[in-house]
Amino acid sequence: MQLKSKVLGLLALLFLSNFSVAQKTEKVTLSGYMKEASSGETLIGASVYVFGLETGTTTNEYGFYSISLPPASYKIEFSYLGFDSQTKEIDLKENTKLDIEMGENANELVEVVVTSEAEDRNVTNTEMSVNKVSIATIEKMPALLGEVDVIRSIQLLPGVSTVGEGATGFNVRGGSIDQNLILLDEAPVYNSSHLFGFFSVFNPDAVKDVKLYKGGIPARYGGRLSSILDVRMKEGNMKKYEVSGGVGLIFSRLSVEGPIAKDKASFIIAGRRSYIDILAKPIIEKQVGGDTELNFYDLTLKTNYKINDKNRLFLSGYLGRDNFGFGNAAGFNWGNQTATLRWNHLFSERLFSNFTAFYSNYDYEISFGADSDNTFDWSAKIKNYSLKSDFSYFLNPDNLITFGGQAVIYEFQPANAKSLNEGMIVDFSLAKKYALEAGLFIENEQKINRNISLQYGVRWSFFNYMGSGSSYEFAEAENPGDRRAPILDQTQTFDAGESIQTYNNFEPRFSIKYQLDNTTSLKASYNRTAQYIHLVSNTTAATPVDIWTPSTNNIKPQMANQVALGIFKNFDDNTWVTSMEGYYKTYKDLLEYVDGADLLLNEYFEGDVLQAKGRAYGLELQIEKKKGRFTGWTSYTLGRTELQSEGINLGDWYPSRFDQTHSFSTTAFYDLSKRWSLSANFVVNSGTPGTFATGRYEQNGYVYPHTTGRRNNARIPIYHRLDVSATLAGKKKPGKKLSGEWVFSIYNVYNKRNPFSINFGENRIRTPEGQPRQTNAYRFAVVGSIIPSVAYNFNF
Amino acid sequence: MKKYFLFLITILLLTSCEDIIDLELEQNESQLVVDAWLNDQPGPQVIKLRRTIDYLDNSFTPEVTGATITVADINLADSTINQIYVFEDDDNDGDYVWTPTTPGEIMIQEGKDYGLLVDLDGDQYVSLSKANRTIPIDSIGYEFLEDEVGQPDGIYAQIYAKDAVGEGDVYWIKTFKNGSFLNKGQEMNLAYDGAFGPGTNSDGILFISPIRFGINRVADSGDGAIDDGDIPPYAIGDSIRVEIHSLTQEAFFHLFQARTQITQGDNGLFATPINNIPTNIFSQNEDAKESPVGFFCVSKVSSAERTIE
Repeated sequence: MQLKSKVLGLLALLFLSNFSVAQKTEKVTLSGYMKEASSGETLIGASVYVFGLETGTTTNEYGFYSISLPPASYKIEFSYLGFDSQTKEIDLKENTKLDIEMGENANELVEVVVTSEAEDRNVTNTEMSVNKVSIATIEKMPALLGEVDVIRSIQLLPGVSTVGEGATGFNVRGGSIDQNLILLDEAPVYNSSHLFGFFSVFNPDAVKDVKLYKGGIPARYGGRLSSILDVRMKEGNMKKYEVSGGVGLIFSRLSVEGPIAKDKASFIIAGRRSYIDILAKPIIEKQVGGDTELNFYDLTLKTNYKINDKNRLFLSGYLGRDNFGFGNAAGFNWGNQTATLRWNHLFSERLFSNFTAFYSNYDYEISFGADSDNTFDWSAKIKNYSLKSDFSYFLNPDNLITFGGQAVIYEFQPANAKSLNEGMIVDFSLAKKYALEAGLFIENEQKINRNISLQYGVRWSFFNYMGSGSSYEFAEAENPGDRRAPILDQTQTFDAGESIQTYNNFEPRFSIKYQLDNTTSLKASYNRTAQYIHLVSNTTAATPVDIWTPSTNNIKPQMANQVALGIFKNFDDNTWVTSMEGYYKTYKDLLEYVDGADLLLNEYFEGDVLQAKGRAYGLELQIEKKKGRFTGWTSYTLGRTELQSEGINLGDWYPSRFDQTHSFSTTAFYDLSKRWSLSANFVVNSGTPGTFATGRYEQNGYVYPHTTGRRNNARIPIYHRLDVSATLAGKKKPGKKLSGEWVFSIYNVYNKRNPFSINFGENRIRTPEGQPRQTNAYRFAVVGSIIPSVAYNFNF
Repeated sequence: MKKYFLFLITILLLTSCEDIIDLELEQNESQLVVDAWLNDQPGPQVIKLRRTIDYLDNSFTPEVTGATITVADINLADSTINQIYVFEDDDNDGDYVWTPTTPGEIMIQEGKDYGLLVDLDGDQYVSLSKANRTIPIDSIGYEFLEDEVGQPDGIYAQIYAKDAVGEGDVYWIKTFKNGSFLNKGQEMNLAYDGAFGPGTNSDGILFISPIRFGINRVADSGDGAIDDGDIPPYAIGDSIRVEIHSLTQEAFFHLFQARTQITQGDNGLFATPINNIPTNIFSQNEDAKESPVGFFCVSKVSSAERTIE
């Protein structure tokens, strides 16, 4: 407690010292937007550099920059990798607005870049544990079935892993998938996957920028422990109409963008649909009979309107669904919907603001029917509404203060389940749950001198689990790992809006950069994060039917503290970019489950939840080559994630399901000629842990597996895979607008059967009574063969 | 539901696969196994004592001989014993048998509590169970059904029975086709009131459809499987015998977990981790040589039989 107040006191002092300095000298402000000349698309993270003062700034998520300087004449350079830099002489006497349009660098092959920002940004910026992947890079990587995929691409970055192909989501520094806040234009996406985990829900044609924070998480983000994946959508071409699309083996895609009013308003609409059901129709009809539905689709929409220099509106939406239907016998579908309305307002040249209202929803429906008198319908949902405001105050070139707040209202519908049983209705529905999550934050990015810069702030988060609803009390467990039974006469009911349980936390965030020389810097960061909503899942991979739950009187919020240290060094005029980072994290109240937990359609599932503490530490190395015909990166992570809970593993520490000791990947790109380019991925990972049976015994003639009681007592074998792809760009004919490319790719080139899990069970063929039962270890591989594919992409 | 998941995965990823592999597994610690599931059916009752073996050791489990086993009908209220039944292993095969002393003598009576005492090498292992009520079977029906996801067309049977009024009755529905017990993990058919689990508002209702249909055999799968291999689907002339065994809540959760564990490998992506299935057999003395696994349960049984014509 004392430490906390000291930290907060220090932060307050830092803030105050800046404001007092700020008032001393008269300054004028240069501000504006930076855009791509051809499309009018704003540029995120483009740099502005003032010669002589050796200072500068970068554009924010909306392409806005602002820098306050003493009145004088300046030479200012505007730059963005892949574009021609522009240098302007500016006689700055009064507040000046200057919008910059950047022209694409014409005399180079389209360069593959990981960070499309200032070349040495990784060294000079205070941010650490952050990866940016440009959509151009993602599009060049070899992809499963030729489908360019945001989430599968970030899994090649250091510190990011997955439990295997087909698993939903991704794991960051050993955290579980629900600890990642995935934002699509600021609205959270609760299930990032199509077809379980094979494809992500983001349509690459509509994505502009992807940024992953693994640590040093700024105070403006909150609500999840491990990472923030910030996906920003394109705004749509402001100058001309553009159509692009692609035809692959799984999806076909089409997007249209263009101006509504030139340089004032534009739109983009992008859709994808799978057609595996159409291709596989003969097979399905043979196996299942007709009337089968198997598809997934998504639709992304965005429009923006520039009201005037001070106001701009953005409206974006996403709708995606996976559908599986087998006549009347069974149906299963799930999907996300998000809608975001944002308003950028400039209060002054130095105070930029953004107000956001969003709605986000994830739901699924399952139905079965033996006949019309015997049916089962089950749906579940998480819905939320939020209001948010962010202010950026460009105090002076050395201080950028951001502050704001957010409130989210959640509605959880864990199960709306009804069964028709010989014509009689049976209602299995579980009660809805409601919660309010709020946060306030303030933060400053400060340059102390040429060598030292800081980013520090604090977030205060508040959570109210509220009615209408009931709170349950549970009996003490006899043994710590046992299910706790509800004490039914202690159930309390609450009216709408009445608090059942509240929590609040201060989450300090701090980063420092110390520049050793022009090409080398040291960085350190600390952050605390709190998470109030949880995905309840105890299966090997999370499933689309897993439910989200709020923190309750029985489930405490999950907490994490992380420190990270890193060294960043670039060589050979920023051709080679390298980094080495170490992190150490501690966790409190992670969700674990009693043995044999029953988590679906169980009103009292809180009695099956155990809360564990955890620790994670690791070392991440990355070497990247950014220039030339041969580019790419190699990353290596050495990591450990462990959990401890009284009721599990005899109370001792055990490795988490996501623990990977070694994780190595290489991604390489080579431009063979003007038309041909090649790329390859190679991945080697240590096997993830699993609990393996050690013994067996019989009851009632059944064979039961038995273990020593140790959780995650073994590891599945090592995972390795090579993918390659080749892209043939169409001939550019002068005067022709259409450009196209063929992408040939091979996933799992040398046909490795990487096990997703090792399972234990009896022979799949019945053992006759009276004979000893046969039990085996089974290797389950999701991708059991080499997968070649071809796709055609076009643009006009 | 799992069936559908699995089906989706296989159809959408024709590339996924499962094969048997050789693994070096951690050495098993040999433990005493008590297999004591008694019921009110006429004739002898058997309790088996065995030892655990390595998971991949596909032989019979070794028997444990030389124990003294008794089951007592007890008054929990005043801790008095009404009657003691002795189980004897005359042929030294680890199967301890109680034989009725008079023809028609039934050990298990509804509503009574029973204690188990296993005396082995000077250590005592004990357990408690209760004979709860069971419910009558109204009828067994069958019909011809067209093919559907994951199951071919053919004759499918249903059991019609209504849960007893009052929350928390639990049942194990055992099916015998032409006298052979349907013994696969996936065929284990459990009911909590009229549905699958607590808190589902299913008290006093007719068993829901998946439970009613849970008396059909599950086809073999995997390498070398022939659909009508060992136990083919129902056909004209087959007899179907169904028994409803009453359980204690503890026994229900034991079997529920056992089923999850036995069928663990069938769920591919969505498998739950292997864990130990809870036991209700406890050592009387703290420094006992054994820490036993297994279960003691006493059941009332109702049954019905029908031949498909």
